[in-house]
Amino acid sequence: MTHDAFALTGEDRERAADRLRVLDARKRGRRGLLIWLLLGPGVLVMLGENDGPSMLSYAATGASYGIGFFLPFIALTFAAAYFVQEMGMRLGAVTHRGYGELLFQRFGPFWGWFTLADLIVTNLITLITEIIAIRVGMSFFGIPSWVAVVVAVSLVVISAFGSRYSRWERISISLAIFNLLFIVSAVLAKPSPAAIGHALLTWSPIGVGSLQQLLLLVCSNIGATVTPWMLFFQQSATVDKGLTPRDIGEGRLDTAVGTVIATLAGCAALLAALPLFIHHVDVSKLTQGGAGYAQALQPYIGPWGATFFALGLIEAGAVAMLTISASTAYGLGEAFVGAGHSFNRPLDEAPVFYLANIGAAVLAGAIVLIPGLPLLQITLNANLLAVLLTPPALVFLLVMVNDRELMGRQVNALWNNVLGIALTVFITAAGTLYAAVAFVNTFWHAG
Amino acid sequence: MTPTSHHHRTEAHADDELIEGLEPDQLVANMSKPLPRMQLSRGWTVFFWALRLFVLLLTAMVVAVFVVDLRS
Repeated sequence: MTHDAFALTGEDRERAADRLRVLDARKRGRRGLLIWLLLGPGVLVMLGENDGPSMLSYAATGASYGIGFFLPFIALTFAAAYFVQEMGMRLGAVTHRGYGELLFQRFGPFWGWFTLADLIVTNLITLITEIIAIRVGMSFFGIPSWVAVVVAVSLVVISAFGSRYSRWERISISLAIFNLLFIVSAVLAKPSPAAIGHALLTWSPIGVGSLQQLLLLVCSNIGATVTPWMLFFQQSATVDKGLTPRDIGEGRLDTAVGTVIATLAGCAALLAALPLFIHHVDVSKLTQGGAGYAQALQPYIGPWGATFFALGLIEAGAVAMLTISASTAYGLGEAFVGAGHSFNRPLDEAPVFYLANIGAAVLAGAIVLIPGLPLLQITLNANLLAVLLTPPALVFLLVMVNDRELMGRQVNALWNNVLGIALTVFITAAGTLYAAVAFVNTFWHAG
Repeated sequence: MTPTSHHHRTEAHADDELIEGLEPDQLVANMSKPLPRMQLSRGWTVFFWALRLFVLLLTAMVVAVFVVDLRS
């Protein structure tokens, strides 16, 4: 295909302007500028996944089981996330098509809608939990619940308008960097370096508790790092940003930087909640209303530590509102051939995209305001649902990234496939084991 | 030269420079063309169905546990 046959659209012009800066930096050998310009989708997807329910899951894990097994386990799940997201980034850079777009075009609308339905359901539930996290964080400062809903929805609306992907991306990254606040809280919790070293080397002690609770936390931690929305988001954002096969190296670096920062922040959330484990504080009701973990931690990590934890929760929820709403928008926009699905387009050229982006946030906000909703249970089960619905999405990804017709020389290597299959089997096994144990405990032993 | 024709010529000149920033496949006109459907073998189709049904079964089990937990 050549350039000559087509006139540029507004979306082309916006993307081309960004790309010319990238090409110029590469031509001049300005490596630092090049990395800065190409940084974005990888950092955002990883910090977006350090969202409200994920940080609460890490805190619940630290408060219930300490650091023994779970500290290295969280690091391992992030390594798995890097591996999955690298494949999605590569697929987007080579094909210039989003995950949903490829799914619909290569496998047909039947499998496309099935996977998209998974995305919409898990995203709606996760968005609800993001607003809950913002609410819990804000309640530490005495801010009423409805403000959390207004802030969350307003953020999505304000960031979406401007018809420029790069603008949206930089707003989101500016917010996402505050994920590091959890590290300050962790430092103020004064965890023992020797205990951290012992945990990382030995993966022990595993702690005591019911098998069902242990499996729930294992699944929650997996669902905090490998989820369907991440696949949709990073691949589509890679396309929207305009990455090409030549940028794959920088795309990997972007994903790796995001992975490292997110791992540090995720482990920090676990470490920050460690005093609750040491002092045997009952954390089973902490996320339901009230200021939750931040308030419970205040006697142990001080008012500043608790403040940073609460601010971190607000940030985690806010960034995830942006990225998860965007993944819904990309997914739905890509389902309809010819419908615009880019932040580089104005509202009238991409109505489905913007309607899905803002509609998802508004719907989640409206649901959170329903009185008497079981917010605690929804939060705990959000990541679990993601674990159950991730395997089909991973299988489609593996098939596409092995498709020579699509990928050419960038097709998966053997080790990619071995790890990909092993990861898919592991996630399926974890979800199956939890579902079986919980089902037997509930319907068999209870009876 | 009228202001309108000058404007069009300037825009066309700017587009000539901008277009160098994109690969041909990155143009919206090219990205909007659907790719051909993959020919799925019977084995893959059966596998996709089996995985899908299994996932739906697990989801139903977890939702049932969720509902019972809520009632209790």
